[in-house]
Amino acid sequence: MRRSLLDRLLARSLVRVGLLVLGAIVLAALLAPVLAPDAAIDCHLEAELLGPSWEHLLGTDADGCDIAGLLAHGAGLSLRVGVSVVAFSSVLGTLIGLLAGMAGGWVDRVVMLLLEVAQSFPGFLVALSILAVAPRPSVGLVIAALCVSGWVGYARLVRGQTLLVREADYVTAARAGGFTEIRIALREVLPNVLSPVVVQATFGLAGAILAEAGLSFLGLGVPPGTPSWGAMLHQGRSYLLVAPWLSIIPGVAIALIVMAFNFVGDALRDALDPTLLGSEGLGP
Amino acid sequence: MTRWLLGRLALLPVLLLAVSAGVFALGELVPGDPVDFMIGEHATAERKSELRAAYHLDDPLPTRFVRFYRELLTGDLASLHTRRPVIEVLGERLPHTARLAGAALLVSALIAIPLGTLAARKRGTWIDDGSMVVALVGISLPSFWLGPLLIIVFAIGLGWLPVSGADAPGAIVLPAVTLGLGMASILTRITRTSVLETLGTDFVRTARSKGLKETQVVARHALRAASIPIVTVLGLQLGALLTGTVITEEIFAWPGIGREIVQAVRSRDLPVMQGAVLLLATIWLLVNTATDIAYAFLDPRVRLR
Repeated sequence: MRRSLLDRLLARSLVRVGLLVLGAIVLAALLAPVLAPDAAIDCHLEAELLGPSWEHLLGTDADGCDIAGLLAHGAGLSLRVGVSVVAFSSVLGTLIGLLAGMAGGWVDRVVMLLLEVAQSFPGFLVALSILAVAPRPSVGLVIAALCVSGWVGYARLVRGQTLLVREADYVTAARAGGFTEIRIALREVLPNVLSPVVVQATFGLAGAILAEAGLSFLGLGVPPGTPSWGAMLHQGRSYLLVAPWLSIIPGVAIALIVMAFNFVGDALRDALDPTLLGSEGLGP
Repeated sequence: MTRWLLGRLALLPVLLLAVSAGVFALGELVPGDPVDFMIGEHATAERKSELRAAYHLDDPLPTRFVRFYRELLTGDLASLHTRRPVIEVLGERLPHTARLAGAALLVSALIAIPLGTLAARKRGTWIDDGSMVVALVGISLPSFWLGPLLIIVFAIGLGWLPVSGADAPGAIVLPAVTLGLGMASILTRITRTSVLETLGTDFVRTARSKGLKETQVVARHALRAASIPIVTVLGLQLGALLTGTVITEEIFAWPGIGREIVQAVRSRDLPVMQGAVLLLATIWLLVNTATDIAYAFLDPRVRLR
């Protein structure tokens, strides 16, 4: 089954393109500490805003830092933020959704109300507001701020799926077999609600990366000096006339990684869950 | 249905209260002394105690919450720096944001409906595949990249349109395109799916058998029936559009609510920031509730969820 799913996915050229792009970005992130160990530190002010050359393949920024090196380090940051936000949000959301769907009754009603309240806040604005009043910016804080509304979508999704699955014959059979509700929830229901979660998580990676870049673009994300694609765009804005490549290069990187996740997510959705129509990312 | 609708409407005040409590809590989240946050630790003791008194910081929490709300609505809540009432500032900014959001909706509809319909009619051909790839690419382009890029090409390079601001003629074009393009991508996909569904229905077959031209069949019958999900998605996207204005307005110095938020954050103008966030969140909540209700009227299955 797993084998055939992978085959089906790889048959699509967009998926192959997406995986290739993601592979390259992961490789860049892994090699960054080796190839450009101190891209963010080893900057030379006298070498500011240089165009592409052999020494600096993509040129230098306004502080004389090597853009290619920053880009590679920024890849690591994007992946770290994306994976952390999605891992935390999807696990928390899945557990809450599973609890509400299995328990039903007042537990379900309380969770639903909680979800309604959480959904009343636009996610990006929540993250932005939290970071605005935070004492010191940090990468961990950006991740936490994005998790605050990140879990809601997963909880809603899993609750809905659980309501469907728990009426299935094999669940009734397990219940008749005398298994505890917790065991039924984890062993019978959970594996069968995970497909849409995987799809949502793929889009979630794109959304979280986009959101971090957006926040850093506004100057509210990662602390100054942290290599981040959004922060590079933030700096680039001041040099739109003299050095447009400062704005173009990191933007291409962001667009590529988001596109790659969207390509893969789209194919996964078609393969796993044709009923899922749209997914709401966190990002702008 | 009536019961569901009443329940939905009864929930609205609860959610509004929750949203305003959340925005109020922002001020409480500020670490240390809010006065230090607003005017810096090195301000004189006099100025600090003046602010403490002005914002009633020593009162109990519930009292301050009620006061925050009352003062916001009566216009007593003022900006820290300009001393202008927050509600006045927001009233000035809101029309700009509304205009931008409307223009962005228009841009996305003008792109998406023809493109999605075309893709549906040419199902399975390279035109269909091509437009779906374009749509996927479009969703992935971040507004904070697209915006500066459009400025480089159309404002600086070609000199056709103004770089920023809202006064010059044509100034709305670039921000509206920046904001509308991502939405156009989502809308294209929905349009394609909906038109495909209606093209297979009986009334379309009847229209065809009457001898109508294919363009007439699509425009007068299929597209009209497909417009229900399209309009719903438009509504759902309006909420996302509002948060999108924060970044787009900042890029183009468009004098709306979003830019006001960013500026208030930078200048640590807590009252303005809270007011603006509250306004956007309230609009978002109202739009989402309205879309929910509209959707329920159109699709009875929703109510049973």
